[in-house]
Amino acid sequence: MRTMSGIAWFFFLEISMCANIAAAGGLRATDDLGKVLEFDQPPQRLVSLAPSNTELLFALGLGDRLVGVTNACNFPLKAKEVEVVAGYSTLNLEKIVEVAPDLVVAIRGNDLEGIKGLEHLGIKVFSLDIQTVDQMLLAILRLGILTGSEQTAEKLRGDLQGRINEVRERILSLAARPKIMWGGWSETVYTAGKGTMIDDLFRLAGGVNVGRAAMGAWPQVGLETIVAWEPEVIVTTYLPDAEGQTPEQVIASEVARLKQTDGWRVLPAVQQERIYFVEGDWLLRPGPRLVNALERIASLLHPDALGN
Amino acid sequence: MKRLADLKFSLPLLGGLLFVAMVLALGAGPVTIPPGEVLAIFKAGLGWGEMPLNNHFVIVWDLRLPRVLLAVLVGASLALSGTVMQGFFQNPMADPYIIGVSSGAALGATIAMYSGIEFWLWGISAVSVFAFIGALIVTFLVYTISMRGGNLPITMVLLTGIAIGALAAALTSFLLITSERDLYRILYWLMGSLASRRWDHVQTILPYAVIGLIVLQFFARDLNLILQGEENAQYLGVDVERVKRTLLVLAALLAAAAVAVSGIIGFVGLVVPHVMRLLVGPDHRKLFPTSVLGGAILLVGADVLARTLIAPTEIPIGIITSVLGCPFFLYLLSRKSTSL
Repeated sequence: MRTMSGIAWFFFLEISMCANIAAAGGLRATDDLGKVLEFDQPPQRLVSLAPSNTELLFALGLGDRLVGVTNACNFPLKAKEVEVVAGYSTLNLEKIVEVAPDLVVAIRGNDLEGIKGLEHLGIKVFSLDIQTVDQMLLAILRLGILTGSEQTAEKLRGDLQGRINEVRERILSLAARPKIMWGGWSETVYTAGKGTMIDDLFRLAGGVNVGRAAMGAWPQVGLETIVAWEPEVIVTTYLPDAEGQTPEQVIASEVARLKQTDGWRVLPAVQQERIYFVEGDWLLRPGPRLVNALERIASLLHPDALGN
Repeated sequence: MKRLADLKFSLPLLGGLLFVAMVLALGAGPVTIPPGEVLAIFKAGLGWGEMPLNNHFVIVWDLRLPRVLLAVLVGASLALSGTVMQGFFQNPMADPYIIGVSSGAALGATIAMYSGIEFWLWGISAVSVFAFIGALIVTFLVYTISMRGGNLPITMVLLTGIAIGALAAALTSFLLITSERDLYRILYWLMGSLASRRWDHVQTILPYAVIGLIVLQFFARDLNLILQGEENAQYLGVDVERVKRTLLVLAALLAAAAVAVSGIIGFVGLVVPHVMRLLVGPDHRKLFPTSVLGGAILLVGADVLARTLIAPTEIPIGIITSVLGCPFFLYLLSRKSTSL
């Protein structure tokens, strides 16, 4: 329900935003906390409080306006040259004030107290809450409008939408919707449930996310449940560290071990060796590289129609 | 209630309850399997019947059975370890984790997950191995630091345990906040669970559990005497310091092995000894065997709820043990007019 109304709200927002631009001529957008932000001139000094925001801003061609990022912002490589003003889940108010931003782009998961603190100091904060691929595309447009780069945003969104449509068209004619699971195979197994970006991506890639059946966004599940789910494909974003080995080699040795392990060995994904590694930075960051993850997962699910 | 104090009555009663709980636990899970089929699978597993072709055999024989046995071993180990610790420290707030087993295990497990170390030893993950080693290292530190001229003063052990436990907890927290890896995995592990455990885990804990659970029974009388006064016990021929060392080492080992295979499960080791004390009295010769059975019953029951209540999502079992144990414990306390 929440997602549905969220999407409806976003469409409404998009239309009203465009109307506003036309009427006022200012740069104006509403963030996901319900705040309306407005600029007369495009903001020149930007701070990103999440790796996905950094990727979105770079994709919008605004990389050289960034004056502050988080210590996890590692893409594109140029992001590493920007000053670090925030940590994994904490923001450093002093540092942010020091770089004197016109606009801070935050994300759900950032420390709300910290965001309030920034606003109290008169710094404008635009908070994003991106749960689906569509919302990511809309975020591109909203950020573009707010920063005065609407044309770049339109083009970027069009390109990404085109790649998504390409996947959609290729899987449209296929009958198979393989069962797919995200997660690992340690003692503690948890997976991606409803309302996660992974769930949305699996659906767009032409698969059925088995984790949807469980309660919670990141539910812990037992092996009995996984055996009953019979996943045909397993995608993991975490791999054991192994020096000098490619992810494919690590996966191969793990699959060989799982074939000998009680419970795991009966899973179709194990028997058919359809366990894959997908870059966590693609799949878990609500940024433009979600589309890379989508194309990769679609090709894993439907190797005949989409495989390279 | 009075009759419960008689082991001839209480042991068969608790044993019967445990058996019933185990049978029910084998029949319950996120996948519905009728009792008749469970029975047929059992026959097949023992070689008396035809193997079914579906995955139900795997579920009952390879997954549920080891999980139920693991619940028995972990529950029994934690409860007996808690009974020993409460007796040893003469403190009603003592539990198996009081000398740093849980904080050491948490630190070990977090180090393994933080640094991405993965290997498999007898089917057990690096996380379990590190948890076990962490628990033993912290316990060993507490033990050696609190040793005073060959003796083990109880207050020293207690305070050293608290101090080193706090240090290990601080290091764990630091790793957690700086980790960019799989935080959920660490959090779920820290909350304790028997989900996805297999025969490998039963085999791992079995030697420690069996040795600990059996050997400790022989020290019940000595612990009784020590509690009446260490000097007095010495006169009666008890090698007090040796008995104390043995009790501490075995209780810590039981808890460490339990934590290694199941994560940190709270409340069992604290409440089961108290419940048994209220039921059978303070004599450790009665407390030890009844705690073993009581802990096993509680954990088998809790695990059934953990995997069925909001199936297919698993609830961390520590949540269930506390929710189940708390009201029952308060009820028993309310029936007691004076102190424990």
